[in-house]
Amino acid sequence: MASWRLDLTAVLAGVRAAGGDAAVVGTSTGTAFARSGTAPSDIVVTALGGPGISVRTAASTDADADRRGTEVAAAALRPDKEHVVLLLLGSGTDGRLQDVVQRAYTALGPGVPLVGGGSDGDIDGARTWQFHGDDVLQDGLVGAAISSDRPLGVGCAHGLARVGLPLVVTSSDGTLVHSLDGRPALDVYLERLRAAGALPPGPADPDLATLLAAGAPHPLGLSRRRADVARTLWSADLAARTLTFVSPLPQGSAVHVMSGDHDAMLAGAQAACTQAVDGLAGAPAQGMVVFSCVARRGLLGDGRRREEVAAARTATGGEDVALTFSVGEVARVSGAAGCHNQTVVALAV
Amino acid sequence: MDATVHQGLQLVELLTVLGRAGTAEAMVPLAAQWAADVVDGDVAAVVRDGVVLAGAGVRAGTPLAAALVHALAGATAASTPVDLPGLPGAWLADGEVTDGLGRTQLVVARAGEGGFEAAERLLVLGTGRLLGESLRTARAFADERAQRRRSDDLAVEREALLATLRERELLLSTLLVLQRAISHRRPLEEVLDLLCEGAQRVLGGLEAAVVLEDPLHRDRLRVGARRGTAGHAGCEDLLAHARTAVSTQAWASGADGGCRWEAAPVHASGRVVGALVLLDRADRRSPAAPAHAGERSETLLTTFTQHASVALTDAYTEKSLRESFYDQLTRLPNRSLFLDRLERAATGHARGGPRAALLYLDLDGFKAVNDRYGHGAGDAVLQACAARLRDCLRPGDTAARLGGDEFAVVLEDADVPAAEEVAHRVLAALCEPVVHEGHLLEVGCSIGVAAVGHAGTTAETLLRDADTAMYVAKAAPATSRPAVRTFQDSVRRARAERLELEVDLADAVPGGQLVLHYQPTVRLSDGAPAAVEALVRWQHPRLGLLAPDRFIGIAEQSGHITALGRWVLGEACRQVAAWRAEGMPLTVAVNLASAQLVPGLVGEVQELLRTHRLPGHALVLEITETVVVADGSAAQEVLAALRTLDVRVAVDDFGTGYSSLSYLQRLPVDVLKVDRSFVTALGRGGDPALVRTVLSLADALGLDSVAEGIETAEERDVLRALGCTVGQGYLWSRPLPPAQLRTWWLAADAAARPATPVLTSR
Repeated sequence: MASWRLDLTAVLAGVRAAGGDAAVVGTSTGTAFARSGTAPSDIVVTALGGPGISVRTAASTDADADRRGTEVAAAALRPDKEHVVLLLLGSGTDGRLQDVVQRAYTALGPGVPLVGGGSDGDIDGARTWQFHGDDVLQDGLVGAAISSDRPLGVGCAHGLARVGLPLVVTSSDGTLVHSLDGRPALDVYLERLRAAGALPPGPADPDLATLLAAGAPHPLGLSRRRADVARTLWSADLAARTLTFVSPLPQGSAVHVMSGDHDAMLAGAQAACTQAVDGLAGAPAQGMVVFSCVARRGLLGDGRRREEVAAARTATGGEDVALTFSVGEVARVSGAAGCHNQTVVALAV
Repeated sequence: MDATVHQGLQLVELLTVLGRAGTAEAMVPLAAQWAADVVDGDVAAVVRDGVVLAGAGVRAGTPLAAALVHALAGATAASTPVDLPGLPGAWLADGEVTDGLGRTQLVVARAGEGGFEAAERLLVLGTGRLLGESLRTARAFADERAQRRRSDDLAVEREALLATLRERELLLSTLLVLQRAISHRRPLEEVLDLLCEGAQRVLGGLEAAVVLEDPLHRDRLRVGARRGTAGHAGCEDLLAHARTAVSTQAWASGADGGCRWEAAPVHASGRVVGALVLLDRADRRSPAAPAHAGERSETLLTTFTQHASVALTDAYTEKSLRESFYDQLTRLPNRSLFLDRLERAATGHARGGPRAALLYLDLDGFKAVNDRYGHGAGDAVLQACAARLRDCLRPGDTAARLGGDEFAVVLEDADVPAAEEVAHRVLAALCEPVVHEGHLLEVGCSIGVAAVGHAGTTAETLLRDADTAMYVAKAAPATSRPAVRTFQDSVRRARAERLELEVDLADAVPGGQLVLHYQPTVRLSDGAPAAVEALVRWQHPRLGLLAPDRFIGIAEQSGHITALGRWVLGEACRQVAAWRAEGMPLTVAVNLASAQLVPGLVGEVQELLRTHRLPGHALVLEITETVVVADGSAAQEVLAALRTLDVRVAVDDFGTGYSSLSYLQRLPVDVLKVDRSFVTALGRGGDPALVRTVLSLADALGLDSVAEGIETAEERDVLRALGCTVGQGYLWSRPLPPAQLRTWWLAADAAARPATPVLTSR
């Protein structure tokens, strides 16, 4: 994990020099924490290995997201150990993380958990970077299939709760939502936000910044039996009355408006890390890699985001933790989706 | 919102989503993912006849897929959980996908506590049903689209075919017109015109032209035919474009300013003789050929050039055909063609067809015209004669030029009188002068007539008979020239005799069969003898004594004349030397043939004078006017050399030839002998002006004059009055053998003393 503002080629070269033969995968980031996590670091390197662990890596810069996912997933086919997890690091800004994950899932099946996140980087310029071996990829996909004699654990939680009645996405095109319940999406959303007290009542539209600020703690959640999948508001078109989210909301989906305060959010972080450790089937955790959403970072602020690191350390029993804030999180443990927003996902080793 | 209504809404949206997917292939994975999402399944798949078509979290050919299919087939799938690879304890929910193709099912598997709720199962069912309907519709749409595309394609194909057929029809009809014109041997110009018109119509373009090599200057090109006008600047360089195709012998094209051109070579008899050039504006698309791709137009152009080549080869061949059977200058059939026609006429008659007659014409004095005025004048005379000849004939008659100045005519369905009539008409026409560059050119004509008569007549015999008759006509005395003579048996006999004589002539000299008779020339004033003229006779062993007109012509033509002439000269010298030795102071005039007028003659004469101890002035050599005119400067030299020997030269038959005054002035002659025809005319009360002129001429040139053929006293008197001093003729004596001449001489001399030679050198 390296700050995207650095000379990433130089960083990677340095890591390679120190790392010797080890396979290297990585991601650009805006903020990353490691160890004690009192202050963010520009570069966090996590070394994973030892007896009973083997790794195969793969990368793809194919323009087609489906092909990218399938190509990288191939690294996890025919693992040489009993347990395998595929760590995915992809572009956070191309809106195709969901497709990548679905392809990888279909290629591998429910027997291989998926975990990872979309890289944070130059959001305005829509550029993010991933590392693979000697290469710095831009807007690519990198995967590491981690095989182990012992179980590996993946956890995923956001801590948010449903608010109000469900809505049906009556018209959408990927991440762009035109209408909810047959009415302009923006209008319906504003109603709900006003109803939740996130916006003052009245007919007047807020400006975009206000809307996004109000919408940040109120993502939509795809209604699922086991756990709703959050969708963070990315932007809105006040004229067209449409909403754009970080990840897709398929037409015909049932959604709820979600809500949660800081405590709830942190409880979610805790839950995710605990879930990951639970996946070790009793074995002690050696370390954890955590992906948390940049939206959460924004919401929690400088003060409380470190608490997510703390939560992770608590879950691992104080072992090494590396945490990065990502744009879109990947975790497929149950269900057929696997791409999350405003969620914490954790890989426990 | 009520959950059921809610779910109903969701299904409605699914319909839209599937509709948007468009194709069956896209719908299936979409439906599987949707089904998994909507009931929070872990894995979902669409299975047809035991094969996973598409899925979410599962793909065909994996152990999971096999296990899923197997579980689906099992009866307990709905009520008990199954262990699937990677998904232990999974509950299944499935629904039929009624898409009309095999047994298709949608299945969703979910691990975890409890199975699927009724509502969830209904949702999966509904999803399956909707998928089935959507697939059916999608397939129907696809089929219809394919059908429409097929009929659209068919319509397009048909349209293209129609267009092609129309184009081909146009091309074929154009080519048909061309081919008809070529096979009907339409004039080349007409064919080339049609070609240009056709090429322009089929290939489009502003202008089509055929450019051909100039037949006289093959490296130059000229426009043979042209249709349309490219007009504006840039398209004028037709010849240059043609030249490109000609020099590369291949199709060529290019752009030249605002003009687009293409050219292809045309051949005749395997040789490139020109090019077909098409011009067009650069920005125009040819209307007649919408698919005017470069390659296609090249093919079409080649078709046209091939037709052009056929026409040209035909025309060129026909031309060469004509050239090989027609005389170039007069456009009359030549000898080969003529003989063919003649043969046909002869055999036609032999088979009972109509009579035919042959005229054989020879122009008189043609050589003189050529020499005097040049070959251009000669050609003009021949062309005029040919034209006049044609005008005298009927359509069925054939006139031909056999060569040189010889012509022949086959008169179909004509007997001798008719043929003679035509011959006279022709004669009259041909004897009219020909005007050429300000000169009046006159030629005469001798015509021999022969008719198909007796059995055994062939073209050859006919030709020979007419030729013989023609020679007879030629041999006719000047007064009855120009002449027509008809071949008769007597002529055949004459020819036979002629041939005989020719053979016999070879013996004449060595056999001592020749004799000289002598005719005296006398002073007109008193009849005193002046000189003698030696005239040769042939004592033929069978035919008796033959006069020169019987054999001199033959001798000249057979080449015996040289030997003959030499003998005459020798004998005359001997005789006169003998007489002079006896005291008869006479000179002898000897006739020379043109063949004798060679440089060797000088030495010969010199030797004779020496041998017989004769003074040069004892010998006068007579040459005819035509010989003088014909032989020109060569004769001059010989004559001049002879005069250095003191020998004198006389011009015989003066007035009948074509000598010009300047010529006469230059020639080294001493005596003019006035032809007997002029003298005879005098006697009949004719105009003496001519004789007077000749005499004055002689006087003016300082020449002596002798009048020949004086037969009456009247003639003598007129001549004397005109100032003529010496004469010759039957009035005084016919030619006599030496002994008799001697006798006459002595008597005449005695009768008119003093006997002094009249002729002196001046």
